[in-house]
Order: sequence, then C-alpha cells, then structure tokens
Amino acid sequence: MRIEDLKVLICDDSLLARKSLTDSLKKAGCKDIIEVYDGQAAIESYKANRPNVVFLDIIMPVKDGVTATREICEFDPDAHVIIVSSVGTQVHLREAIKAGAKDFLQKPASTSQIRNALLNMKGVTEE
Amino acid sequence: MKPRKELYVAELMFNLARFVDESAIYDSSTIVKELPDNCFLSQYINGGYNAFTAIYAEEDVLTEFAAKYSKFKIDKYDALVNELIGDFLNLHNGLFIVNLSDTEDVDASLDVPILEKPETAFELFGTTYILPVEFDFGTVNFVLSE
Repeated sequence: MRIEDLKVLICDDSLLARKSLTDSLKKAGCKDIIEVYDGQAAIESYKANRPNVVFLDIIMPVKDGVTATREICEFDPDAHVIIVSSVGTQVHLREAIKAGAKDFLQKPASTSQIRNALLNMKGVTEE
Repeated sequence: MKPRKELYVAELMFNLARFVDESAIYDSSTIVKELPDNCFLSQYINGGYNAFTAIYAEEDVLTEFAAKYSKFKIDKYDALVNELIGDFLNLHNGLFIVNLSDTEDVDASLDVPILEKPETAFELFGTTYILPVEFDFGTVNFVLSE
C-alpha cells in the first residue's frame, strides 16, 4: 500500500499539534486524514472508520492515549497505533508499547519522522 | 522531594528560545504565597516529582506569545490564545519530565492543562516561584510551585 492510500486517524487535544501533524502527513502524501481530540473519540472513530494507522497523543481529556491504545488494540489486534507525545519518558514508552502501540515519536515530530514512521509500517511504500 | 527549579528554568529557557523567541531573557525569581487573579493557565506535574506550573501575563503579551509560538496570525486575545499557551506549557513540561527521567531517573507524568479559571483554588506546594521572562514584546511570568 502506498502512503497516499493510507487512511489516517489523528487524535490530539491540541489544535496546534493536530494542524502540525496534518500538515506533515499531507507533505508525506496522505490524503485521507480524520481528526479527533480525545481518546474516547479516537476509539469510536477507529471502530467507525477503520483507519490503517492512528497517531495518538498521551495527555488528553476524557481518556488518555495509552488507555485509548489499549482499547483500540483489544478491538483490533492488528491496529497500527503510533504515539506522538511530549512525555516521552521510559515509563510512558513502556506503557504505550505494552498497550499495543507500534511506535513512539517525541513531540515536536518532524515531517521526516512522520514519513519514516509510516514507511516502517508493514507493506507501506512511498510510491 | 529534591527541588528542581534550576533544571526547570534551564529547560524553560531552552524551549522558549527553540519554540517561541530567541529574545527571551530570564530575570531573577521571586517567592510568593499567592497567585494573581490572571494566573489560571496551568498544569500539574505528578508522580516522582510533584509540582504546579502556570503562565500569566498581560493579555496582549499572551497574544503575541501565542502568535510567535504557533506562527498563526492572531489579532486579539481569546480562547485560542489560551489553548496555544496551554499547548506550550504542556510541551515544555513534557520535555522537562523527559529530561528529569533521563538525567535523574525520576518518573513523572502530567495532568491535562487547565485553560480556565477553576472554581477551587490551585493546590500550591512548599515553595512557589514566579519566574519572569522578558521578551521584546513584554514580560511573561511562569510559575513553579514545588
């Protein structure tokens, strides 16, 4: 699957982070991007839209990103969740991976980091 | 609990220069018992290190700060400004606790930023510092209570 064919769900309570991530994803070639702003909305949107990849923040209202990751991965063990957070401590990283996240990016994440995270997904190519 | 004000200030100045404006100059801190009424944009750090953090300034200064941080064109103070200030605080505090974890093996986490004045008073800790930072466009006061 090419990057441009990926359906991407991004979840962050920060307007600025969502805009930055959306801009990076568009530069990487993504066209189908869904935005939500809390962990519970991410779970519901995942079930409704079945995106190929999910970018989740950790610190969010209603439901945090680690809990959302766990619930998404319980619903779909093949879900590809990438955490993008400012709290990239070893403990948070371990919790995220344990919950089912496949990757972890420290904020602020650059366009090349976002692109590489997508290319690290099984079967995803640039062209 | 070991005080981390110096580490917090060092991280703050690095992040201000990196994400907001290189004109930032840190003035000396003062210790206070109470916070001013316009101090409500805040965030708690908890876990291996517990602290209350906040940002306050005149509205036009906060507006300019938010515009420089976000690169958005912002003409007036409104809820977007508060959201962007909360975003910077969250980013800075996140990078601070990563630094704390890496350098001192202390694990902490963050609450969601508070963007509106709460009904109950903030929980202040042992010592509350006002950390004033001068920019070309005015003074922004950071608060660390630890």
